[in-house]
Order: sequence, then C-alpha cells, then structure tokens
Amino acid sequence: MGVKRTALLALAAIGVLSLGVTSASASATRHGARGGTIVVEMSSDVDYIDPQLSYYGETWKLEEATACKLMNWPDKEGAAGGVPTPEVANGLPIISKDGKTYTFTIKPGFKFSNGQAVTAASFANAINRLANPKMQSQGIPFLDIVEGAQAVIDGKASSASGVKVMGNKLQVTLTKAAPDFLARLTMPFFAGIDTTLASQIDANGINNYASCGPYYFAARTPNRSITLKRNPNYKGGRAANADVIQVNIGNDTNVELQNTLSGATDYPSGGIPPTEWKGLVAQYGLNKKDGRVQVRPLMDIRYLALNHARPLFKDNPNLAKAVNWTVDRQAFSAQGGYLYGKRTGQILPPGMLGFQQQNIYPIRITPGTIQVANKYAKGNLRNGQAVLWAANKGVAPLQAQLIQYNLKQIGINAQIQLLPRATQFTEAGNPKTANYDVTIEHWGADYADPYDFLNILLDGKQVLNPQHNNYAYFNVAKYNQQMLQASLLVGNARGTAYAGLDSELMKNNPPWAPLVDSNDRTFLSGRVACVTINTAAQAGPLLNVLCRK
Amino acid sequence: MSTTVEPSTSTGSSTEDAPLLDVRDLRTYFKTEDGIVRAVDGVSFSVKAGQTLGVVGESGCGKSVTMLSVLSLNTKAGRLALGPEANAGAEMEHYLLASKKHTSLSTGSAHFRGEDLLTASSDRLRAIRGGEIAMIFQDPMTSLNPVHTIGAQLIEAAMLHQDITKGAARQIAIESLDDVGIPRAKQRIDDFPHQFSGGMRQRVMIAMALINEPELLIADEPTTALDVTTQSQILGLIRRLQEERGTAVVMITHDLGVVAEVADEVVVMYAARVVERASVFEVFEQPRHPYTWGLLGSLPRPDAVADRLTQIQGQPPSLLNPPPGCRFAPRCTFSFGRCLEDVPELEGSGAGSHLDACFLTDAQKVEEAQRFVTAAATDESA
Amino acid sequence: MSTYIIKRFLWAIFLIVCVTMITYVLFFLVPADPARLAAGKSATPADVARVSKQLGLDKPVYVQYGLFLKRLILEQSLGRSYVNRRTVNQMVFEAAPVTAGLVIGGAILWMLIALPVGILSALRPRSLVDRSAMIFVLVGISAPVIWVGLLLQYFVGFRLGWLPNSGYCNVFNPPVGSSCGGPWDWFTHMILPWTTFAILFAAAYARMVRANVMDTLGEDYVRTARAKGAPEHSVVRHHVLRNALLPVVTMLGLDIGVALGGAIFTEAIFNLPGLGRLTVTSVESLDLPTVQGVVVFATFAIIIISFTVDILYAYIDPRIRLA
Repeated sequence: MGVKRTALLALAAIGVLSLGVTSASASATRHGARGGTIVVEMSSDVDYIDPQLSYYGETWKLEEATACKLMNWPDKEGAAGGVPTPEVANGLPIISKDGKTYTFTIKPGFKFSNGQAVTAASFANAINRLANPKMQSQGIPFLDIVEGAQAVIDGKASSASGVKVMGNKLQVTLTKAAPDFLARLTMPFFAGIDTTLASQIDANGINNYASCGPYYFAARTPNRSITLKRNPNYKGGRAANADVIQVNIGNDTNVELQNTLSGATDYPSGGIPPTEWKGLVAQYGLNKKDGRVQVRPLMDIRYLALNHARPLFKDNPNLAKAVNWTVDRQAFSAQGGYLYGKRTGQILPPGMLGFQQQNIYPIRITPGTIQVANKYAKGNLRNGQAVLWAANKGVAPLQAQLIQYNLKQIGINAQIQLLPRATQFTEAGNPKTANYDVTIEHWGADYADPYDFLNILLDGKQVLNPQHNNYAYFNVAKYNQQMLQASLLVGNARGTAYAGLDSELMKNNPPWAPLVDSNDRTFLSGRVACVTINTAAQAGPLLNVLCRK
Repeated sequence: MSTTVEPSTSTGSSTEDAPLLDVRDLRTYFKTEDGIVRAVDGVSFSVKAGQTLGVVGESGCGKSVTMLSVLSLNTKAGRLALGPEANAGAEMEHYLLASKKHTSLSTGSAHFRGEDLLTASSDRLRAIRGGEIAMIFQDPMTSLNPVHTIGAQLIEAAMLHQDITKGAARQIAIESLDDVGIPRAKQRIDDFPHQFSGGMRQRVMIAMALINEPELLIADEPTTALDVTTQSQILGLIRRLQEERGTAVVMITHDLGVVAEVADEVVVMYAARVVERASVFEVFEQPRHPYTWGLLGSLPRPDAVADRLTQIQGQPPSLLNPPPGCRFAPRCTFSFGRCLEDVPELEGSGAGSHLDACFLTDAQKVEEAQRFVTAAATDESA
Repeated sequence: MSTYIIKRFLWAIFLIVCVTMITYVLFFLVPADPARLAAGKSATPADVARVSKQLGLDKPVYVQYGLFLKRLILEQSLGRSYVNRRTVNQMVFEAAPVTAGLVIGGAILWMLIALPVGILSALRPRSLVDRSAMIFVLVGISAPVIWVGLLLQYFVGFRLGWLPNSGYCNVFNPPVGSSCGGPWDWFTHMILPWTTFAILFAAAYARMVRANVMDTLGEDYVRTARAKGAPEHSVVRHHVLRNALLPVVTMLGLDIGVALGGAIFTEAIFNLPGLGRLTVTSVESLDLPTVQGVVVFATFAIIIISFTVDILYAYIDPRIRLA
C-alpha cells in the first residue's frame, strides 16, 4: 500500500495512459476457467460488511472484491501492485497548487449491482456517511484532513463543506496538504455507495446493499457465512472469475488445514497451524505459478519498542544500539514457524516508499556481534534492570523469553510481564500506565506510506496524549522536525527523505530494535488457479481474480 | 422379661408327624478378603408343623445366616454335595477358594416337606419363597422399599404366588392389613412406608409375609428394633396369627425373654454351631450347656439386687479361624483338657429330645442346672 | 408449596443480581479499555472520548451497572455488543438452541451408554464386562475433552471422511447462503460433537450408576423382595433401579444446567455457534455486554433447571414430598 503524491505525479508526467493500459491489461488476465464457486474460510466473524464501518483485515479482503473506489490498487503482483491507481476516477485528479484541493472526474460505465449508475455523489455520500456521528465509525480519524468533516462529526452539519459534487466531477478540499490522501482513498471507508445505502444510517451496519465492484454481498449470516456473487452490471475491467465466493466462518486453524487438504476449502483465510508450513513447502514447493504455497512480504513490522521516557533508555543511544546488536532476529523469527518473516534492522519495510536496504545491524548472531553489543553496552547499563512486556498468547511468551535471554547477554536483567494483547497496547499507549522498558510490538500499516509508519509511530508530539501509538516515547525535537518536513514532500524527494530518516535514526539514536517484517503465508487447495497476491491491497490471493482450474 | 416359663399349648403333636423343616448338618462358608468365614458350621434342627422354634444366640453366631441359607438367599451362593464321611470343613474351604463364581458355599440338607431346598431348582425356590415359606426381617424401615406404596408391595407379594388379578390382590392386601391390626386399611394401603411408625411397619411386613398363607414363617429378630410395648404387641400378633392359621414359626432372637414367651422348642447357637436343643421348658428349667447357663445367668431380673449383670467373660471366637475343639471352651469356666482338643457332638443323654454339645458328665450338668435355677429363685447371683 | 416457590423465586433474583454484579466487577478490573478498542487503532483521544460517551463507558461503574439492571428488568434487553453492535438478546437466542441441541442430545447419548454399562457392571461385579467397563470409565474420565474431540475430528472426520469434521446445520430455516440444512444434515454434523461431549459424562455416570446399583443391591428391601420370591429381573427393575437412579436424576439436572452455559471445548473444536463459543469470542474481545448476556442466560438456565429437578425429585421420591 505505498502512496506518494510525488511518485504519482512523476509517473503521471511519464504517462497516465500507459498506467491505464497496464492496469487494464493486468486485470484482463484470466487464464483459467470462469465460473464455479471459490470457498474461503475465516476463523472468526468479520466485524461488519458495511463499507463505512468495516475495519478489519479479513473483512477488507472481501471489500476489495466488492468495492469500487476513486483510487485503488491494481490487481497485480509486486511493485506494480503498490501504486495507487485511478479506478472510478478517470485518470489522476487535478490537484491545486497549494496541494489542498483535489478534483476527480468520474469515469462513466460503472454500475451498482442493482443497476444504479456510479456518480460523483456516490463518493461524496460515502464521505458524509463515514462522518455521520450516528454511524459511530472507526474510520472517522481518517477524515481529519477533510475540510468540514469535523462539523459533521460533531453533529453540527449534515454534509462536509469541503466535499462538492459538480456534475461528473468530485471536488475535495483538505484542511492542509496531505500527500497520503490518495492512498487513504483506497480504504473501503471511501468506496462508492448507492443512494439507498447513503440513506441508511445505522451504527449496527447494513448487511444487504448494492456494490459497484466485481462482486456484491448476496447474503450474510453473522457468525456463520457470507456469500458474494458476481456483480452482473460490472464493466470496470477488473477480473470477476468465480461465479460465487462462499465464505464459511468459525473453524479453527486445524480444521481449516484439513479442509484445504481435502479440497473442501480453497483458501483458509484464518490461517493454518504455524508448524505446518515447513512440511507443506517441502511437499508443494514454494511460490510456484499457481502453486499451493505462496509467501509474500507484508507491509508490517515486528519490533521492540524501547521506552525512552524511563531512566534505562532515556538519552542512552548506545544502550539502544547494544540492544540492536544483541537481539537474535533469527531465533525470534523461528518461533513463528517456517517463513514467518524477513529479518530486519530498519524501521520501514521492504516495498514501501523510502525503503533502502541498510545493513546497520546483524541479522545473525555471531561471537563478533556479541562483542560489539557488549562494547556499546559497557558503561551504559544504568541499573541493569528492565521490565519486558509481551502478549500472553500464541508465540509471544516464547519470544519474550528469547528477548530476555538476549538482554542478559549484554547485562540487562529483564523481568517479563505477559498481558492480554489488547491490554498491552492500550496500557503502553497511555503515559500513566506505560511501566515497561521494552515492549514487543507489532504494527501493520493501514495504507502503504511511510507517514503511516514513521510519523504515526515516532512523532514525539503525541507522547503526552492520554492514548497514542508512540510506544518508544521517542521525543527528539530534531527528528520531530525532520518527520514533519518529510511528510510534506512528494515523489522521489519524499522517498529519499524518509529513507534518510530511517537510517539516521537507526544508526545514531535507535528508538527501536526492529526484528522482523512478517510474511503473508498462503496455502491453497489444489483446485484453484489465477493466483495473484498483492499485499499492498490485502493479504492473500485476490478473490476476484482467483479462479477454478 | 421374667424367666418363668409357661409351657406353650400350641405345640402340635410332636412325635408322630414328620418335621415340616428338617435341617441336617448345614454349613455355610463365605469367602472374604480376610479369608474364609465359617458362618454356619454344622447346624441341625427341625421344625414341626404349627410349632414355634426359637433360635437364640448372640450377634454373629450364625442364626440369621442359617435361615438365609435354608432359603438360598445368600448372594452368589453355591452348593456343594458331600458324602457323609468327607471332611466337610476342609472340602468346603478348598472348593470355595477355587471357585471364581461363588462367594459363599453351603452344604448339608434342608428338607421341607421332604424336598431338599438346597438342591431345589431356582424356579422351585422362587415358588417356595414367599409362598410356602415366608421370611420377615429385623428392621422394617429398611426392609420395605421406600419408593413404593405398601399396597404395591403387598400386591406384588400376592401376585407372585396367586393367580389373581390386581384388583383381587388389592382386596386381599386390604384384608391382610386389617388382619394385622392396621386401622383404616383401605386408605392406608396407598401410603408409603415412611408414613408408618416402626410397629406399624412391622405389622405390614407380617401382613406381607402371611398374605400367601405360608406354612412356615421365619422371623429374623422381628422385635429387636422396636420398643418394649410394641415388641409385646408384635409378638402377640404373631402368636395369634399362628394360632389362627397353624403356621409354623422360626423365631430368631438374641432375647431369651422372647424365647420364653413364644417358643415351643429352642435351639441355642454359639459360634456357628448348635450347643443345646430342647423344649423351652427344658432350656429354662434344666439347661445342660455352660453357655446356656451363662445366658440365663446374665438375664436381668427385676427382683435382683446386684448392681452389675453377670457377664460371660471373653469374646466369641472369630469364625475365620475357629479354635479346635469346643468353641466355647476358651470362655467356659468348666472346661478341661479334652474340651480344647475334641469337638463335642450334639447328643442327648438318653431321655427325650434334649440335646447338648458338652463333655461334662450328666451329673455335672444336672448339678449346675440346679444351681442356676435355684439362684434365680432365691435371688442370689450365680 | 407456594411459600416454597416464592422463596425460590426470590433466591433466584438474588442469585442473578450477585452473578451479574460479580461479572461487572471482574470486567472492570481488567485493565484494557473497551472504548479504546472500539475506537480503532488510529483513534485520537477525542475519538476515544467520543466512543466512550456513546457506549456509556464514561459513567462510574455503579451507574453503568444500574443502567444495565434497569434495562434488563424494564426492557428485558441485554444491550448491544461493543464489537459488532448486534443486540445481545439476538446473539444469545441464536446461540442457545445450538447449545441446547448439543447438551440434550449429548445427555441422551451419555445416559444410553452409562445406564446399561453401569447396571450390567453392578450386576456382574469383577466379571469381564465389569472390568472392561471400568477401563472405559477410567479412560473416559481421564481423557481431556479437547483431545477426544480433536482425535475424533481428525480420524473420523478428516482421514476416514465418515462424518463432517465441523460446522453446524440448522434443522429449520437454514440461513441464506449456508451449505447445509435440514434434520439429516443437522444430525450427521452433531454425531461427533455429541460423542465428544458425552464421553466424559458417560464415564462418570457409568461409575455412579454402578456404585448406586451395587449399594442398592445390598439393601434390606432387596433381600425382602427376593424373600418374597420375586424373580431376579423383577427385583432389579422394580426394587433396585428406581432407588439406585434417584441420585442420578439430581446430578443429571445439575449437569445439564451447567452445560447449557456452554460446552465450550466441544463447540470450539467443531465450530458450533453456541453459547460456549460466543463466550470465548466475547471474552477475548472484551465485549462486556455479550459476556454479561451469556452469564445471565446461563444463570437463568441453571436456576430453572435445578428448580425443575427439585420438583421432579419430590415427585419420584415419596420421602421428599413438599408439604
């Protein structure tokens, strides 16, 4: 999910048309049988299928198949899939000089599954419905840059003043220049909705509505199943291979594996037991074309947040470096099973704008690395005691023990405290309760832009808020300034600035010890082909493209 | 209970009739975790039609087991046939230890009207139990099924042995309740056992036992669980019914007073054996066994001035490993050498049917008996 | 009789208040903030405050509890889930029949196993039948439910494919989009869950029945019945069983009542959308209204069933007739 306005403008300068051609030809790839039913399994129910309410990775996999948006991710693999591309927007929007006003032209021909045409109003309604306080949506924070949205949120207006429909054009005015705005538009919160859904304001979510993407939600029984059917009126150019996508809910990972092995299920979205991957790779090979085992890097990061508000790491960059030298990234990754993720010593993940491979810290422990670690630690141990937080489920407690051992090698005695995951991050994000020196954290981007990684997680201005995401309590004025400046840049300059920030932080004053960038591991039945995975869009195979052999 | 004995008038003619029930050399052994218990070890007696036999002895002497064995009511019981010359005790033990199926074993014979109950088929036994021979037990509360009405239990008893309809059985049940003195029988027939008092329940048991007009009623300590007044009522009831119907009764008790009141003949048991067998008069007036003397001596007497009852010193022997020789010898104040080695047989001294199992001479026995009886009369402790 | 009913009713009210209050207190002792969770990952403090107000979480605990009680009594409503905003009433009433089907079917199955096994063992102690039965009892009581369920699911459901390895099918009105429905589908899908659920109870009850029957066989009234000349089968049927099985009735009632609160393991393994699974998911996501809803429902179920058992017991045991 990488977004950068500069890159878009630069590429647009090269050729909007070529992009349009590429996306069209990519989605025209249908090298398999059209028709049939694809069976998907999820371990737990989705939160809502209502586009303005759903905020859950699993649901977004389905929304990706049913929604049509102004900007979207192409149905392509790799870097090409990470470029936000106009979908219903007829080309890139016209952006005013001050970067605050975007004007989109609506491409004709898109229709909802009930026959209604998709217009500019479809997207304006989406924004206003999202802002409607009666919907109580979790997507409201993403409207912070839309002018007039706050008035709607506060119940003082019925529509945002900054959103205007002018014939077949949609104009959106922002409160400040936000280069990641186009990336935000790829979230299902901003998907086009028909007039019926626009009038249905219900915080409980609407389960039955028309969609303008390749599929629509034909049926939903909460906690049991969801059925998607091909949108008969869809002429947008994206693939819609299967007739029906059937989602069954509730089986645990063991059963999902059994069902995928027997062919009763095509895609176990809830996952399979982590210990099974090695055997499956041995049996079916890895990343073959339309192969059964597919692994792709995700845009996320697993890391140790070092609490700079407490005495141990406050103004103690060398100790932070020592931690980065002593942690055993290999063993940490091994806890999650084969191909759990890619070891990293950087903040930004591969594939994201601003990522440049740096080899500042080792990804394997050797006697040499231990020596270096101790060199940095010497004299900086302060009282040598640390409190280490981790989640109490899954592999987290094991990983905590590992980290505890690693810290011991440089002379820090870490006391482990295990917490329920929800408790862990809510308490960590509250200055009054953040009583840890190290916490094992995990962050997945909502959209692929370095702003959603660096600024959101390391901007020092938020550390006094009663609830925030800067678990390292990292607040250095110089870097706050750099982060702010980088966020205003576009294109290559943006990428370079963020890359520089990443390496400078890690080299000189590490706020974290980054550990692993997770992989999206997918196991499929032997009955499907047309496997296309775009982790910028969602994890797993694109459901509209997946086809029966 | 006084010790004066009134000879019963309801004995049938004793010499010409064959006995109704004739038990010979009955043995019943039980296999337990601790070993083989010889609960009944060579018991013989007989009951004549219409007569009352009192079987008396202290707890654990085998009197109940004897009667249960007669009716084959011991659980998982087997029966061993032995020739007369066989060493019965050893054979029984050997067989019982080897058996996987049986946990108790009986041998000997128990002829009822000429038919040996110990070898009878199970069908025949079922017909006899409750039909020709009925048995009532000590604790009427636990002996009646608490979840069925007494009517249901009476009707069950009747229908098992009489070919009648339920309605007719119910009628008979009401009549039998009436007979035993339950007031408002027609209403109370549908009550449950816990709604009756102890004495009433025992009357119900008696009604249930007699509903099929059996020839022999075995009463296993029927009054032990009751208070003295009720006791006397129940005994009176049994007596009356017996006289009306001519039923023979085996009255098992540890209470000599009960024996005195109802029995015609008496069998005294000690440690799984019979030690004395005589008419009730003979037992009380001319007892011939040291154990009987001890029993009589320990009777409380209203006119006595002694502040302690006389006890027989010691405890009854364990039936797991009974002592060789006379089983009473260890406690007997009259025992001598031979008593500890040889087993005294139950035999009479010539005249009549008064039998005892003791090596003392007749003269000694008569002399001691005299002393006991005199002591009773003259208020001296023996 | 009526005073007895009134007293039980008041006691039931008291119980429900206690249980719900304890649930509330426990929930609020958990440090995570449901408003924070409901507001989403990127929520600002203003967003969290807004959500907190919407959910009523900005009020003191006792006020929240009072509102909960008021809503329960006046509207018979258990509120709405924090996570997906469905009414808890609806979620609980959807889940309850699934659990009821599992528990009652399981109870029938375990009694069908326990009664013959227990009675036969008692009538033939230390025989081959008895010893095999007691081995079964030992295994059944010791084997964890999860292990049994997973084994059955893997071998019977997956490897052999004789029965479905998971899932639930409605008997009536299969939901739109579901792949199965109707009585036969429901039955085949329930066989493995019933077996998993029943094994532990079957073993425990077989042992209890055996012990009770053996005890009863030694009772005096059984001896009386034999002395009356009753044939053995009649003795067992009329005299032994009715008395031996009295305690089983009480236990059965209590066990069913408790299990109606959710046979959690079985439902989780076989993906049955019942109260047990609902409890697990709502506890994991700190969804207080749903947790509370299940607790209230389960408490009701236990109270009603134990009340019924009391009445039933008075009916079958004449010694305990209520005045």
